[in-house]
Amino acid sequence: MAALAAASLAPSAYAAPSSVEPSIEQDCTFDLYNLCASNAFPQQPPAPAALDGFLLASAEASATQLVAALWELPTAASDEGPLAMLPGSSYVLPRAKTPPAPKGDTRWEQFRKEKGIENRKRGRKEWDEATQEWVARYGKDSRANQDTEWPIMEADRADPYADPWEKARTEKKAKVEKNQVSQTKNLERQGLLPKGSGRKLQREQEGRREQTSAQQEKAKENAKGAGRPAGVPVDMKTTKISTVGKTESRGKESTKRALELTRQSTASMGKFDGVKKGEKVSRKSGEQKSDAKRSIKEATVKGGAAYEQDRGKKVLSMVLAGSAKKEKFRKSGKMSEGETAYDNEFGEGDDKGYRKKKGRAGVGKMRKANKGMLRPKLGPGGKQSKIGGKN
Amino acid sequence: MRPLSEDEMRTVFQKLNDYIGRNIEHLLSNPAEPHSFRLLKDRVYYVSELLLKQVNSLPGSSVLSLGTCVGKFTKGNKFKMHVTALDILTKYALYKVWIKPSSEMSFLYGNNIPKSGLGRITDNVPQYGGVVVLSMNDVPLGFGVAAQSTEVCKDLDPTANVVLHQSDVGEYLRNEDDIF
Repeated sequence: MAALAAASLAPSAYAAPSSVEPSIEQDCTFDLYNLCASNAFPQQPPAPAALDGFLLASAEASATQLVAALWELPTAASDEGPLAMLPGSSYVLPRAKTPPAPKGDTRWEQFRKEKGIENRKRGRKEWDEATQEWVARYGKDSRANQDTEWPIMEADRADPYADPWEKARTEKKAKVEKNQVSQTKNLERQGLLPKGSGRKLQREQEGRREQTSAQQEKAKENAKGAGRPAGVPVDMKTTKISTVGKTESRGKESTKRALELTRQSTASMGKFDGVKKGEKVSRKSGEQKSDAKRSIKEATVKGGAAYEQDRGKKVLSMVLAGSAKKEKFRKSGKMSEGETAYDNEFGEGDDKGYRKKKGRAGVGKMRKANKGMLRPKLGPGGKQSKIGGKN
Repeated sequence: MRPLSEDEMRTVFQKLNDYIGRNIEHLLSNPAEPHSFRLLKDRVYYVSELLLKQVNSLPGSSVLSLGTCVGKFTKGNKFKMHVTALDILTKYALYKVWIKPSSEMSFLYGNNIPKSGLGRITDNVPQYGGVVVLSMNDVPLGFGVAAQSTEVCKDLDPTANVVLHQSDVGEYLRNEDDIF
């Protein structure tokens, strides 16, 4: 509807394109270096049905013009006939993104300009007299970055325990960190990093340095016991300082560690040591070590599944044998009645463990658990016993 | 993740024995689709060998759960069955209890089943035997422990407990966070 109205208002704009011949006749512009012809004149698109023909015709016309333009170029003779000498490329491909902003000066460059200091050009390599070869002046492959100086002659005599290598390392690290900060501050000044990022980095570095010094303190503390005679534990902690002297105790963790060590310190590495029921054995000592090995075998090796099945069946037969025994006792009324089925550890070989006790204890908690039972079993004297048949 | 040690296996089998008895053998040897038990943290999983092979290529620390969770070891080293094991139990259960629609809801909220809710019961349930609880149209609802043997049940008072609740499918909603 809208199109109709517009057409009636300005009929010339909507007139058939017959008055304007498709501009394929008009000249193309050429980039002969790339053998490219382009026609930038606006075209009136024909009806969709005629579009293919139109495009073909315009492409053909452009190609004709391109070939004609090539023939006008100066030619050179060759074995295969005349060759057209192509001019240089005139086509400029536009950038996708804006060019980066020019970098500002670093602090040193500012200073250099103010003072009028000229940059001297120095080569990357320098001649090393000692080894008679060229070495890098700085950075990778430079002498400073290789640990060539293994004896440090000028060690600090004042502190014989100071580590000169450690000192050198710390100094170098400090230099690198300082440089990082000044780089960051330069970027900050140029507006490439948010304000305060240099200061932030500095604070982070300080925090890290404090942390490492705290760790060193701790290591020193740990090394304290190094001079103790054999047999005296080195990991004692001072718990109390009184007039009599220091009280030292081992603490739970330390005792555990000591126990673990003694476990492994037998000829069999603890493999044949007995373990109390419920005792926790860490993975390190023998008992668990063998178990862990076996588990690897089970999980990965061929036939491991069958092995596991056999093991399961063996345990199952033990359990079933235990339950058969239990059933026998249940039928003969020897089970203590206050017990749940799970309080009994069967299969342990000790029958007494789950037989009914005589007297009050044998009556159990039955009445309490099931109020609605028809035949409540009462202990002697008709009193309900609270003592279950627990073993 | 590792296979169960013998002690652990015994604890698990003792518990399973109450519910499915000798049928544990079918769990252990299933030639069509071999399965085995695996311990991951404190949970015991019933895993097919095929899945196990696939899981083998993962670092142990990144496995959270696999196969069917049968239950977990408590801090006191007892074994507690989870409702996720219901499928296994139902398939091989020795003793079953069918409950009336009226008491289904009560059971699904974690209550014991009184005599009045009892629809049907397997013939030879011993006292404290493990039973699988089903609705009247054979939908497994959970499992529990028979408070009384079948014979005693006949003469019981209607309010007396017949099945002591252990686990029910309502836990999928109630204990959603720590069920697996």
